[in-house]
Amino acid sequence: MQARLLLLLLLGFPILSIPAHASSEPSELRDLHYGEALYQLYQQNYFHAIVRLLSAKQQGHMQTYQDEPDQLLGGLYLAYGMPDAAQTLFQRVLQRSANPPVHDRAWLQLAKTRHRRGQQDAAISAIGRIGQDLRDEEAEERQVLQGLIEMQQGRFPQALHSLSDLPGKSTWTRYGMYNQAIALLRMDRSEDGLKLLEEVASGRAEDEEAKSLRDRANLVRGLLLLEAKQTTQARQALEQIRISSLTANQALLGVGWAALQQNDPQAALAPWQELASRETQDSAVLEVILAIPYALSLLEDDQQSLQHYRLGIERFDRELQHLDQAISAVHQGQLLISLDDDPPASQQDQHPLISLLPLLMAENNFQERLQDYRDLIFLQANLQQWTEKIDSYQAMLAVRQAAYNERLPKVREKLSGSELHQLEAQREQLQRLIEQAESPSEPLFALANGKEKRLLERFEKIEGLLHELGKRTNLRNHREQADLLKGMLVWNTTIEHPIRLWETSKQLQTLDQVIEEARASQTALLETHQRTQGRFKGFAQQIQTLEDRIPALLTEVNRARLRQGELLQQMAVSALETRKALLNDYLIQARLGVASLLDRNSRSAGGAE
Amino acid sequence: MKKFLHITLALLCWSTACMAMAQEAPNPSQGLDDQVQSLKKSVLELNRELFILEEELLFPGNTQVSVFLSMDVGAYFKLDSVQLKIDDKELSNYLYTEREVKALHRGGTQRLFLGNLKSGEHELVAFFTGIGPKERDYKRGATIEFSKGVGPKFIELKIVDNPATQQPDFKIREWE
Repeated sequence: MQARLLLLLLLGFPILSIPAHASSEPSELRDLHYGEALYQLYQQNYFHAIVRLLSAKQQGHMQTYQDEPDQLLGGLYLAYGMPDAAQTLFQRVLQRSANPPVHDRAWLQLAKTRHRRGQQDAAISAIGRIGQDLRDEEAEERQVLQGLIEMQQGRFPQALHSLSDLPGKSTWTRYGMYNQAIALLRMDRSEDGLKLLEEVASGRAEDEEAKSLRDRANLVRGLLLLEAKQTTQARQALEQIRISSLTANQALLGVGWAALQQNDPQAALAPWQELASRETQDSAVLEVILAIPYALSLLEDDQQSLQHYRLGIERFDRELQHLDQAISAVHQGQLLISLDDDPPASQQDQHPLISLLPLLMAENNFQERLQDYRDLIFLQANLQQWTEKIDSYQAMLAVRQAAYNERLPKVREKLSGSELHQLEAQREQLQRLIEQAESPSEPLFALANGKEKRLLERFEKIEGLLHELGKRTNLRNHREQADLLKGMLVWNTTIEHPIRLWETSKQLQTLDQVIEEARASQTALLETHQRTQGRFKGFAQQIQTLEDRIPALLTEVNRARLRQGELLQQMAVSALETRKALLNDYLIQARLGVASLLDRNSRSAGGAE
Repeated sequence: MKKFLHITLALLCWSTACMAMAQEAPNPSQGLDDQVQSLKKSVLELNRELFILEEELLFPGNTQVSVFLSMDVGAYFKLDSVQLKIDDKELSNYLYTEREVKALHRGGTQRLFLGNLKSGEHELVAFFTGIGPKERDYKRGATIEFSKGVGPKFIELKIVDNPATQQPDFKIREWE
């Protein structure tokens, strides 16, 4: 986990630079999705941050964002233990972008990725491709990375050169100075190395990280001065280390040795007794168990010395027993249970391994393997959750489909077009009427209203009657009256005809519009229907495809988790066996101490006789 | 003692190098490492597909509404909780952890609510509770009336510092 956190620190620069973009106005919608990924990232939820970014990209929310999402994604892959994916992504950014700062940043990320994968020469080559367009802190990071790789390759003079002239006062500069001091020491330039360490140790330290580095610098300096017999300065350096720091145990041990070097065994006892009361996982604590009786013997307090040797033997024996139990527990698979993030409370006390975890964590690669193991447990749980969820989505889809199917008869009726056919028939009728009204044969009464038509029928009847009766009687007056009235009807109808023709044409136009709208509505309905059917089918297929992928992946994840677990067990057993060998060595020394004291006592007793 | 010094120094030099940059030496279990990487990639891709499917299935675009929360600086306000109401219906009452507040301070944006709303006019009310200037309890509300169209609707609640009044401002911005 510590390595993971440090990795985040390494990634820190590109990540820390992002809020500057996010806060620049005007911000855009894409910022929300990008910001959502950042929200997850800043809580170290790398998995969720990656999923958010990948989804937003696929949904097209980041089309105008250029290279930032890919750079962020690459950094996230690196933090999530996926250097291969990170490398592919950075290489893609390099191929795509013509922007020098983006290029330089991508090469830096690529260098870090290669370094992480153990490809040191390739990492140096990537560093060589970086131009002059990095921001200040990124440039410092590059320098420190280059120096570190060169140190790991044993090229200390080159490392010294790379780490020189670090300009800023950032974390990188502090690490750079520290590593520079180490390079100097490895080149046997102790004086220069010590001077630089003093500079690091006396620098301001506001945060925990800086304080830890200061402690470490003080420890190295103190121990080197101790070796050079500059005891007073060594003590001063060692006594500046915080009592709660990770290096406090070595410091306490060193302070005691310094007192011994000053021929003051009594003064050594105070820090050593404090150290002896601490947990035995630290080798400094084991060593002090032997150092205390040694100091007491120098004070010629043989009784106390003997007692402490015997106490030490008991403690080593207990510790060896504890280790045997731990090794046996590892073989029984208990390690993996104790490594769970939340082992059941009832089991916590039962694990002899719990107290040994810090010891295992200190082993090279163990932490990264453990992180991978925990990541695999997370993946397993994630896939199991999706298995349950996807079942419910299938059920939900079935319910929705059933509800839609219930409404389907109405939809089908609409789609059958019966309403539209009626409207079209009405239109045809109206069209015929207009054509009739416009034709010269019978234009007059084609558009007559009902009353007019009824009157006309009556006139026709009256005319028929007049025609029949006219042969017998004189009906001239009646005929004139009928002609007059019919003339009035014809007149009125003739006057109204153009208006009625215009109104009817208008009605036809309105009906045309209604028909047009009905047709559009029917087309839209048809499209919606087809789309809905398509969506149901699409969702069903999608769910099925994704559901099919889960079991195979779950099996693979389970297998990998088991293999990873076996590897962790092997590493743990190996570390515990090494620890046992060390303890046995200390046990022998303690027994030798007892024998030597008893021998001295018996000789002095013999001499007295 | 000399042995102790040498071992400690060697450890310190190496461990610091490790501390400064994560170091990974070639290892015999490379195959497993590759497998783990490949599995992570596959599960991430699957999650991407499932995430999108879930969103499209549960929150289709024509009814989807998302409410985000972001923070600019935030020196005058320490956020404790946000209560969210739309059309007088409480949709979220979120309590923040320190870690989440830090993530917001650093520029992260939280999706506070994702749900469905009918097209038309709506009213959103957000209440922000926390510690304001002079370490006093602080509660403020912000309201927006918005129109939900056919596309997904995005609303951003933003807490910003107002140096002129030395008070926090609570802004609401809508995106279509």
